[in-house]
Amino acid sequence: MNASDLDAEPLDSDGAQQSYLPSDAAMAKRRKSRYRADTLARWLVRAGGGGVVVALALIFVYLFSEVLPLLRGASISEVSSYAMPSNQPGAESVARLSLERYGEVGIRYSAEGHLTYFNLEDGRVLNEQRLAVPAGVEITSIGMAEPRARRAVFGLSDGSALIVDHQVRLNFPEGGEREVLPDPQFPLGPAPVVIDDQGQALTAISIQRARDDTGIVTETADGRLLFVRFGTRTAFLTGEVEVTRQSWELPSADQPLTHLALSANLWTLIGALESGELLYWDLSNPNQTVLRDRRSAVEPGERITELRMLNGTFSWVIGTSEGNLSQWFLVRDESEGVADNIFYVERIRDFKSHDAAITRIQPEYTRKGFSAVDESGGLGLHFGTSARTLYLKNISDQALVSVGMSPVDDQLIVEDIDGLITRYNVRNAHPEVSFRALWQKVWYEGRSDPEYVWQASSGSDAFEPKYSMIPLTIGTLKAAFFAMLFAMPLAIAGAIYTAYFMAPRLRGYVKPTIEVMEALPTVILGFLAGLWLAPFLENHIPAVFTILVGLPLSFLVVAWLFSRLPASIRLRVPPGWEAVMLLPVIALVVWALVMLSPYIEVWFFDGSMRQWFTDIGITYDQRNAMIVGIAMGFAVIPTIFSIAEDAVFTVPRHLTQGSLALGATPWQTVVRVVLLTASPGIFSAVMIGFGRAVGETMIVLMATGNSPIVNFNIFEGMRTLSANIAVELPETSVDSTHYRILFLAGLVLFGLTFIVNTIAEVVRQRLRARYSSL
Amino acid sequence: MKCSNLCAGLLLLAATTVPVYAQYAVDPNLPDYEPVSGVSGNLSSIGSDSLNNLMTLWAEEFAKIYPNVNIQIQGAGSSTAPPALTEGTSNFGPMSRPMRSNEVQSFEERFGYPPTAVGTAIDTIAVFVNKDNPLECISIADLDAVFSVNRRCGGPSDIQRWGELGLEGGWANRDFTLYSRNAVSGTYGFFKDNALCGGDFKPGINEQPGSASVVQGVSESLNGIGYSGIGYMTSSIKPLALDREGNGNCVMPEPETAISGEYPLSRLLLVYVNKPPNQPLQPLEREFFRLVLSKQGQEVVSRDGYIPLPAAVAERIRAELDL
Repeated sequence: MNASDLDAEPLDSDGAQQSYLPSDAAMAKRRKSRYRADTLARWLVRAGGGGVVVALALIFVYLFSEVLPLLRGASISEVSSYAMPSNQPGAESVARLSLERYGEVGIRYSAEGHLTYFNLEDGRVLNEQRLAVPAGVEITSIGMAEPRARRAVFGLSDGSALIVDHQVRLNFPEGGEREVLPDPQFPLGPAPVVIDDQGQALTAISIQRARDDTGIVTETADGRLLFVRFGTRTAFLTGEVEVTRQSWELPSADQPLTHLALSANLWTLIGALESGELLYWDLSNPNQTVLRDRRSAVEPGERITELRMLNGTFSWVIGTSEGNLSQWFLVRDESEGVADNIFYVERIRDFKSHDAAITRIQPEYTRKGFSAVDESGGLGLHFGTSARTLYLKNISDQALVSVGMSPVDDQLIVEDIDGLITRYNVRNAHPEVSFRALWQKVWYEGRSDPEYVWQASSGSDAFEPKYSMIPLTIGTLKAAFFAMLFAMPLAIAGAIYTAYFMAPRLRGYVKPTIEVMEALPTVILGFLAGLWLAPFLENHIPAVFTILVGLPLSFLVVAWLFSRLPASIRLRVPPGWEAVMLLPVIALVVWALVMLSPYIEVWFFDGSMRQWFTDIGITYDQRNAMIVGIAMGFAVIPTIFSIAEDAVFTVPRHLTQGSLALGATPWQTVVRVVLLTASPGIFSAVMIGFGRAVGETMIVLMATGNSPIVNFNIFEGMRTLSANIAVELPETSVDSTHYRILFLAGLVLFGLTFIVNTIAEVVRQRLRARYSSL
Repeated sequence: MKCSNLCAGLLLLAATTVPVYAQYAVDPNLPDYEPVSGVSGNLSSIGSDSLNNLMTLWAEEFAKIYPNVNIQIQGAGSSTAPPALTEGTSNFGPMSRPMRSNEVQSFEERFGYPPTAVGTAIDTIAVFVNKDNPLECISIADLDAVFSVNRRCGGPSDIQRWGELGLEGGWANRDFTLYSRNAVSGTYGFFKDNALCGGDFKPGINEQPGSASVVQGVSESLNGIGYSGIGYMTSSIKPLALDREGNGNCVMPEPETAISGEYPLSRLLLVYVNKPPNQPLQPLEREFFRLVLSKQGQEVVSRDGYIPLPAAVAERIRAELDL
């Protein structure tokens, strides 16, 4: 058809000009609808893209809003204030304050032996009694068990002691509201029990409750140190209570003790001297108690003014006359030549100093925090694990002499030297968290060194939660690293071969097959890896190494043999189908090497390579990073393969053909031309694969032991951020610190993928700019 | 208050599905359940998955007696019980661990009184090793030294090889593969408190999502050691006897030793219920607990692989609930 034909067409037989084109009106209509469709599509795309950005931003905002409360410090607000509640004379000097969990009743011991329950709202006395101190006998010392035991002991001048539980009980009157009623208990009877047979005054005393037993350690006026253990057994059927008493005399200190603190398992006794020295007795075998350690805890001229065990009684806090606060605990001596289980006293951390001498320290009931008051009217809220001082302010002009805390950490009361009690509401929800506690080594109670530990929950309140993000972050990177180590060479090499060398028909089978692997549920992969692959590989470790070396070697051998075949046979294999010949070879070699594996173990490794690893000091876990690498490698291979293959395949033909035409071999063309041009695509394939491996949950969850360890040993497991969230989030209580830290883990994961993807995109853009000129 | 003593004495666990491998004799002194008339309505239970099978079996028994009662049971996990009970969306909160103080607290904020825990069955946690392992008995201090970094039970030194537990030959230098439950399971916390004296697990433990996978892991590893409810035992693993004091007094996990408290790792499985003080339970709930604490109810426990309550304990729990 030439131009004149075209020109002629619109003319019909009778010469009238009739256009095949739509009329102007129709054209305008079409244009309009096209324009409308264009606009609609443009806005849909914009809305879609914008929606993705908004959704991502919302996820980020939500994660952040859940994490934000972690960063807040503590605050307190005054609720009410009233004069010291007592109807009895001689109860002026406060000994200890306590609260019950409902926030209705306060409890106060006076140094003269009064126990007063008072209404927290207005200070009204609910119940007051003087403990049964015999006439002519004085109270010479006071000790408190850990707060949740609610037990106090008064040492008397006649060598006996009074033990009181300041309990409350609930009453539900018919149709009325809950009442919290005072319910003081005397576990060993209301009368004093004899501690010192010689009747000497008890000058320092400490009490602790160990399940059904009560342990008391006391120093007598003549310098002896006594340990008495009362066991109470309730008969199963009759309900009768039987009390047993055992006592020991301990090696005494050469100076009078100012403070004594006993641990709840009755194994550890800590004492403080006037000189500022700390002493540690090992009571684990009371018949052979030893004074194990003794060291100065303060600067010259400074005195220890208060010493209290923190919740769980594994560590203690000392307050000094200079207002300094420090936490201490026992550390196992692991140096050479020291017997087993010998501990020494170690200063672990210091808290922000108060302005004046510490007068009272009150530990929290279920956490490792404490409050401290000082002589200048300052109140501090501190926390052990995170080494944080959450609140420190002068709240009074008078010296504060005592502080009591609510078991649920939402209230506290302080009493000043004039007997004025002030009640505060406390907001102190997440003291466990600080940058240091999350990302740096922390010295946890009872450990020999500062460590990175993730161990977030337990069944008891005495537990110190360990929230280090390092094991989880390392675990995530470790899993992704080994997965990439397995997936990257296979996927990229496979992609290059498939795109460049493979026959188109074969490629038509191979590519969709590998892409279908993507649809394999990861939970199945994880299940297989954990339950079948892990035990299988443990029993065939040599096969892993021989296959790693043997398989590529066998390819070379087959290729060499193939090149030696007579041309008549060789040419029967169409170009691009050679790879198929390798399939039986792979199957055969893998089978043979697996079969050979037990013999290799017998020949070279005394019958078990697993045991050989143990013997040479390499830890081998059955569910380890190698298993995860293989299983997760399988999950990311389709992703990497598919994108990389597309990148290689879309390298313009004129480049490759030009290269070949200029005399380059196919191999040179691949390495010098194709790979360079496709590199941005291959790189983004790898990065997307990496991003997937970082976020992958089910495979790691099922194929590893979720062990929160910090190393890159391929034969040990890991615990990743995502698996950790999956495991722990369903059972944490909403808005708890643990819950928020899991959200923080989510945020870290989000940040990690965000960073990886951003770097990937930047690098890809640069590569593309560099090679687009080809 | 009596229950809390008992509960403290005998604590609890979490598990997933319950294969039946053992059946224990039901105390003949337990009373027979006597149906009453006029019981109908809806009951729902949300909570522990370890108690899920038990609850379902009890519900079946209950429905057999009272066809007009409609019972729904969800078993997503112990932690789902307290919110459901607090919000009033369920009548029963089966839990394999006692409520934590903050869970009790939110219930109390709503109702003004704490929820009531009802002991319904006894579970023992056994320490398992591979069936080819020659070890028969382990002391708590050694167990602690195997599993824990702190050795709070007083073990003299860390244990890293089976030889340190007295095994010889090929076992002498064989290391451990430690299998544990998830950090959130009730069993994990129970084991930590009672077998590790409150210490921390070693970081290298393999945390498994369910009791069945712990058992599977131990049966696949010659050098494995792990713990789970005794109900999960299979023929490819064997339970170890435990020696509480380290004086050679080894106790196997058996019903008698669990009930007497000689075996150190046994606990009560609980069902929480909202019972206002000074008021009786609602008729439906009352009848359900009467059934659970009767001979018929405890036969279900036995069929499900747990240990039925002795008559004296059941009697005490009934008295507490005014049944």
